[in-house]
Amino acid sequence: MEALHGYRPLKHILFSDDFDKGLNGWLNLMPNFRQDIFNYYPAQEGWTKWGPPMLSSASYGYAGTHGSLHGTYSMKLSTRAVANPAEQLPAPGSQGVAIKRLTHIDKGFLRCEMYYTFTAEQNTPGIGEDAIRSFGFFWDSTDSESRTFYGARYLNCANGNMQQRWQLFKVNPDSKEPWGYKGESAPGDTPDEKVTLERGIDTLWLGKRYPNGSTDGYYDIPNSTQKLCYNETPDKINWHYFSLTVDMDKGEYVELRSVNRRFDLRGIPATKVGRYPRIDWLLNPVLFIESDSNRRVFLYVDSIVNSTGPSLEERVQ
Amino acid sequence: MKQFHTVVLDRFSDFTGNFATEPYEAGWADEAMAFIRVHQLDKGAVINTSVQISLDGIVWLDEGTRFTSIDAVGDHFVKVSHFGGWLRLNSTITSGCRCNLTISLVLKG
Repeated sequence: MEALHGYRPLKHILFSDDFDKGLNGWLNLMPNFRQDIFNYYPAQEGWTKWGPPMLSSASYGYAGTHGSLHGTYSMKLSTRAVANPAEQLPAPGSQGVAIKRLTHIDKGFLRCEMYYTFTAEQNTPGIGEDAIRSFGFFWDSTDSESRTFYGARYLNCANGNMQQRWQLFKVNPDSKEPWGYKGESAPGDTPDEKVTLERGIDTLWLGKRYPNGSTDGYYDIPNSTQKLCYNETPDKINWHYFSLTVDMDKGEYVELRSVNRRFDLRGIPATKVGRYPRIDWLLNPVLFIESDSNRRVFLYVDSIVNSTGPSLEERVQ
Repeated sequence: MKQFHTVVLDRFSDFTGNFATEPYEAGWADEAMAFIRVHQLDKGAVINTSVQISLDGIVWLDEGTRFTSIDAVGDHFVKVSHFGGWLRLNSTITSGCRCNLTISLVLKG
């Protein structure tokens, strides 16, 4: 990737990652360690199974190497060949998750752009489009007073039924259902304080789920049905453009762009919870994909750019 | 400067019977080491592990490198090179026995 071809970043580029140059600090997401022994909180052990990212040449048994949009390598996220029904919490290993960890340099607007594609493992005949439940991107973002998950996902298929619409990370305020995990998650500021996962945190695997693939943690963007290009065999992959912009001053979404569509999200608030100990001004971008059947599914990211700025004025390339 | 990457494929995971790590693409790397950290192992249990390669990440072949039979808690490793695009470890454990392992690949190239 040279000179950010195809990107429309805001004024300050936080990072510009081309996976021909390595993994650029993206790694697997794992749960917190307990404080007494080197192991995980029992209820979170399943969260050690999320598939780690890898540098992929997108090579297939009969197509050969597909390569990436800007070279040979992309970052691939893979699930294991497992899935729970859509109305259950995700099976351990049914998601591939990659995270990068930094901190904020500014308030104002924040934008994520990427070129990505998705496909199913070519281990059995058939297109495999319905093996993919969802994929997406979010920021775990904090300041000195609060924590917010801003993100968007493409809900592709649930229990074998195609959905093909976009959703935002936003808790259903009307639901009285439990979020799904009330246990301890990390040590607090003091030995007596217990940190737990509140509604709106770890939306990826918490929140009551429903047979249509939606959950209490996601909000359907109105009129967002979009049939993304999924080619006629799993070894033909087409790169897609994604852009999500949020307003951190207002705590609101601004815009989602996907291929030919632009969704105006202004006025839609994200879900804000109270401060978490020690992680002030954290900014963690996260990518993920989830399977809908007992078949591995893959999200490939050719390159990803995050930018920020006090205004939405776009740089002229 | 070379790339260097450690990926943990299984962490504190219980295994019985035959088991294999998830497929991992490493075509960019010239050399790899595989580490098995044994946290727990039933008395009398022996783990036998071989390195496997693949054209497509779906059909797997023995590469020829094998761990010395593992019968003790601690770290164990093998070295491998010229492995193409994919790597995984394929293991068996003494029938009826259980182990708890962390399994990693250490890649450079």
